[in-house]
Amino acid sequence: MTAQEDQEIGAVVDDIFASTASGRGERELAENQWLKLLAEAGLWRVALPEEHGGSGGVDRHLAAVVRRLGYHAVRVPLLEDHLGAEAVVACGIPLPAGHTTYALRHNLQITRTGDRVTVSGFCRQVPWGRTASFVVAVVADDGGEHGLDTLVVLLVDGAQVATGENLAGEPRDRLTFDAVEPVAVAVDASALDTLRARALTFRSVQMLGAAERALELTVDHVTSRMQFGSALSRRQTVQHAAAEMLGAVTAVSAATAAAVASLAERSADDRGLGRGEEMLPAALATRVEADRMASLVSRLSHQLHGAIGFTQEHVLHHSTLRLNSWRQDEMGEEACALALARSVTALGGPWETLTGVRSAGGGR
Amino acid sequence: MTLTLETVAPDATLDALRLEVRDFLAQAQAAGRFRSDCDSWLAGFDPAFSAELAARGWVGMAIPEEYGGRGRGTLERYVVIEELLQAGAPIAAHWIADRQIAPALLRFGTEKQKQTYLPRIASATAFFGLGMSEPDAGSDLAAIRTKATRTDDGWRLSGSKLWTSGGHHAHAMVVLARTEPVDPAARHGGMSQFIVELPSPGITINPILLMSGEHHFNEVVFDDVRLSEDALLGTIGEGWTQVTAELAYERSGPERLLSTFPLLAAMFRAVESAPEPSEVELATIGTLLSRTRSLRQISMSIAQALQQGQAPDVAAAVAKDLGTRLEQDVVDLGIRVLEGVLADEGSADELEYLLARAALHSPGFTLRGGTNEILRGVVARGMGLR
Repeated sequence: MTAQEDQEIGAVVDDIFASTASGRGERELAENQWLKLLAEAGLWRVALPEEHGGSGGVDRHLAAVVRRLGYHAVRVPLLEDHLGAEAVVACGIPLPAGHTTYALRHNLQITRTGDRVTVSGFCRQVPWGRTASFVVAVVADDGGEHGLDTLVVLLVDGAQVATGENLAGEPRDRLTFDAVEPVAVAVDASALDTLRARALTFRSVQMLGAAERALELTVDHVTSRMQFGSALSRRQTVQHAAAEMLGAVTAVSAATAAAVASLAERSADDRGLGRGEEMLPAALATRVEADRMASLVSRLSHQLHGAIGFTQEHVLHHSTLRLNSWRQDEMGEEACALALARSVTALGGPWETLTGVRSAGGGR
Repeated sequence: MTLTLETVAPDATLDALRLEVRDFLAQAQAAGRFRSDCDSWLAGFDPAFSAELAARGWVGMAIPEEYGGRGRGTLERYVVIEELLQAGAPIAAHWIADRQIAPALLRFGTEKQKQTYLPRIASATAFFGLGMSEPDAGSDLAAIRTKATRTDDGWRLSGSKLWTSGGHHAHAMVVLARTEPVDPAARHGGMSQFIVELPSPGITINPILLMSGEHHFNEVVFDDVRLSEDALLGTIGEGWTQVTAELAYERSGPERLLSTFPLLAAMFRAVESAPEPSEVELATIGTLLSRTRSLRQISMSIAQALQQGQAPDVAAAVAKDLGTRLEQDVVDLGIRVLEGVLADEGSADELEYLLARAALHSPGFTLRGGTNEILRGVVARGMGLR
């Protein structure tokens, strides 16, 4: 898929948003209205096979959609649902009505009594936990199957829900389960790595979209705002700060493109849980860069906007608060950097990790 | 605005070439043929090693076969150079000739100039220097004063150049000189490029020592040096256009982010092999690797775009700005984070040696080939801000 196809999908998404609420930034439709509009346009579950209600696309299509949603600062769990739905489909059970989500921060324990499996514990900071039908989580090495991950699909109705919100006002909820039976269970060697890799990668893409919006607003502002008889953009310090922002965005654009390419491009009839070990280092590295970009772009875009930019009325915060919130999803920057460094030896060394190529017996 | 760059798809042929170079280097290093160094494309002068690389077809790769090269593509060159840089191999002797002079000759050279120099560049038997900056003309190249005056049988060249790397080893240098006085309305006009053989009567080369004590840079003084007709490279008065024609290529290469990679790799090995690896140190290295990865993606994408005939000048400025700062950050974080490691050029310890080498060269990363301030100005212009 080319950059052009990428832009074409983006244009479809842009059309949807242009046809609705006025102004840029946070949209005012309710979440289920967005869900309906996106589904009608074939953008909901865009990379799920058609027989499961998706559009039969591939990961690059999903990335193109997610990037534009990040740009438009839309309140809709498209990304979370997609990853949750992938796991549900992989378990071979029907998708529920409504949307799914996933939990990567949890302390869930699996108890097996004969044939009966129950799950207890809590999931924290679950994106849109309160409105989801299913939540998907992976329990690593649950004791029943050493060295293997167990994917569990849980009914949110069976949980105690404590609501919470991130800085951008998006739902980040705690779900507590007390010996509930999962809707489905699947054992796999690398379900956790796969879910993590995909979540980190697509969240980074979403952040890229938000950063592009913040940068665009900034360029508009500094070229039109006049002080001391000329536009702010005449000042070299302002020019260089804007150049810094474009640099950060460019780095993440390159990183995410490569990370998405390294995810197994899934055809409509290949919906396995995937092999996480190759995609995860790319995802971790990408997320570190996305987090650094988020920090820099949020800080500099506010700085270049002046006080106007930090008001409720101005749209900038819809992008910047999302950038700072999304840094806290899945895994933080330091944790990602540490995990990446820890994976280097198994991949053959620092240069082997970067090139994906190793000598004598290693290979891709 | 976002700069659109296409990801480079994995390619089995490129992978095989990469491994060929990597294996050769591993053997050469094990045999004590070279010691891995930072900034080896500036500092690692080893004509015999350059000749060995040339014999394998890894110098002058993009020069067409009719001129003694291998006619290989931009991405093939890219992977070979990347492997050489990350190993810290001594590639300084042929660097400028291979990377800057050969493309210029191919674009602007006469048939005679191509026949004279390209085969020698490809065999690493002709080394080149560049005469651009002067005492009063660094970032502002239009301010140069070196003058080439027309004579019956050629030109006379007078003036002085500064920062000519490898000038003391070079067989020739390409000099930017004024052939017309400055026109304030068109400051970059009236300059031309000349190929000047070394040594020549009237040319004096004085060393400029780096703060490390090393001799890489030179002052080159031209005192009424006689140049033949054949010395003109390209079109008279078009020197600026010619010099800037290759900017996207020069600014975006892997040498703009990998000069300190040998240090980063050594840092990783040292930290990871400690009895209790420090999480802080590991996370620092993870961050540096993440940055290297994305900048490498940008750099490779630009190489691919160049192969397709594009000129992504703004992306190249971004690549060099971010890449060279990464190079400096590797040094800085090494000094800050590595407990008990002393940067010492004389140390037998690989990490202490590489940290010292990188630290001593570090200021140059963000100055050479266009200072980062100039680059950010290029980016800002591309964004419509100036």
